[in-house]
Amino acid sequence: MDINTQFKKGVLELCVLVLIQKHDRYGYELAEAVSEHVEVAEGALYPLLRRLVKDGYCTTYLQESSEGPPRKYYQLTPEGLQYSKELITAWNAFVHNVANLIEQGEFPKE
Amino acid sequence: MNKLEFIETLRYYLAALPEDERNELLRDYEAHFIYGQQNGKSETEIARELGDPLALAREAIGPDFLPPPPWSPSRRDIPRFIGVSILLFFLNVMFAIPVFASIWAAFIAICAATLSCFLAPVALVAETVLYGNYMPGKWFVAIGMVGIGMLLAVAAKSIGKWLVFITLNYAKWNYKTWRGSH
Repeated sequence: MDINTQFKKGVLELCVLVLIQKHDRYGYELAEAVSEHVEVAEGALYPLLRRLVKDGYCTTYLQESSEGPPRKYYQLTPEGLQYSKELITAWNAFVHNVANLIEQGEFPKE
Repeated sequence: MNKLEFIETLRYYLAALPEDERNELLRDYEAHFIYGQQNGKSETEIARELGDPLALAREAIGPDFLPPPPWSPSRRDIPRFIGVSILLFFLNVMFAIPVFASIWAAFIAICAATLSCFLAPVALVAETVLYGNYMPGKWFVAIGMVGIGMLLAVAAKSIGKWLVFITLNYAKWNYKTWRGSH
């Protein structure tokens, strides 16, 4: 497993929360939206979504679709919104700190 | 890997999840396949995008995930099977079946004797009615025979239990030995 996969797995939750925050989405739509930006095993979304629902960060509702099975939409709860804000703050701080660290390290310029 | 293979492999790896949770998760994946196909993707393509079922199951179950052992078709040791079959056949034909048959025959004989002891007074009444040569001494004999019948009945009961027990156990042993450890 390459290092990138581990990184992606970690931020998948953040990506999903941000996407649902914009508007309610169903599983396949989320998978498409995520993989547009990050290459990731799309299947990992569903266990993640299940966990988010279990932890009370999301709720689901079904909506009939003219084509195909009813769509299970995911909606952010107030707790989910709070959590997502915390994650974004933590993420930004983390990226910033790591960037600083790399900056200070003396790497030979390519 | 096509849709069916993907779903069934995942179902197998998700064995540790409660049934309703497992089915719900699998329905999510099935729906994903349907939406993907509506968008013009092939089953194989969708399965590849979804990822490795084993990794997904690990994701779904969490840190306690223990992969169930891979399918192992039950192996049969054919030479052992043939040898044991022949040995058991001769053991049964030459020894076990005759011995069991004679013990059971003896048991049935005891039961018959018990029954006839109990029937002695009935026989006496019938003899008196049909032939009319009644002797008081015969009553003593008939009552004595009922007594013997009671003793025999007690004996027959415990012998019967014991016989059923050893016959069943012998049959089980036969079956287990024949099937081997698999």
